[in-house]
Amino acid sequence: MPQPSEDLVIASGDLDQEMTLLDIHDHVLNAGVVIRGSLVISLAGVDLVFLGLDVVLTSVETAMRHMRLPDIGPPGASPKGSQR
Amino acid sequence: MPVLAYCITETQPEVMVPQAGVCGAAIRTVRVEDLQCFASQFGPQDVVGKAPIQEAALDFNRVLQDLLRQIAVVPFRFPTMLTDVTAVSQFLIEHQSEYRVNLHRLRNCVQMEILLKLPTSKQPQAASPKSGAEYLRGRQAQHQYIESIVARFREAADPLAKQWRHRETVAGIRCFALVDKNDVQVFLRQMKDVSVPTESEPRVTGPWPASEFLKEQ
Repeated sequence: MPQPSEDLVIASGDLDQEMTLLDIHDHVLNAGVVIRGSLVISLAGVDLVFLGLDVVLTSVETAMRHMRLPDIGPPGASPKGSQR
Repeated sequence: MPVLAYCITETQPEVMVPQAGVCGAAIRTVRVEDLQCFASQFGPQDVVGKAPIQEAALDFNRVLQDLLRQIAVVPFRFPTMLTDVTAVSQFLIEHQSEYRVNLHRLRNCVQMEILLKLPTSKQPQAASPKSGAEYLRGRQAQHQYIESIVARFREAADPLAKQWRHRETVAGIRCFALVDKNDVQVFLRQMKDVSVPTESEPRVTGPWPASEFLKEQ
């Protein structure tokens, strides 16, 4: 039965106003301009795709959802050089 | 030295550059004509292991929100690193016409979001369909249910939303409204008055950079 949304969660402004880490991570990792390239490095133990000389970094998981990545190496691989 | 790119903005009006970026790094601007990119310089060794990625993402978001309060931004996805400042300039030169148009169009606008969970009882897999036709009828009922809820929010947002988009995701239905930044509080009040099934657990977030509206439909 529809009713006024008293349980509506308003998450606006600063983090201490119920803006959750999930909200923020979802946006900064999944929204925005993407540039293309091909290389893997690690950031704080998390494998990131370091995309070429022109370059973007994104999470491997996110990148795999958006593009096919040949030869990026297994998780935990050492950082590669910046040459393509 | 590699640079972490935050976002692109117009150069006017002048804005206060946030004092520190990811990992406390200084933020600089790279200008090309009437556009500028906000960025911090990093060696790879400066980033690796220095801060948990969650903290770095929060720092990144703080910079975006700080700038968004002052001006329209086209954000880069975190963490986007270019090889050096020259690469930033080159990127801006190559894409300047696209960003100029978008930033002009999105001037004074922010993105507000509404996430609606799909109740388990309305998910097609909740009840095992006996046939393809039954599955399709379930999907149709689900679609109509979703559309009816989305329509209520859209109607409430209508006077304020310059544009509206919604799409189904694994997390539920995500609705995006492009709103004048001066109307954010009114928008939030409008959303509060929408009557919806409590099981849809509506969640309104924002303001965000208008990433969903960078391309006109």
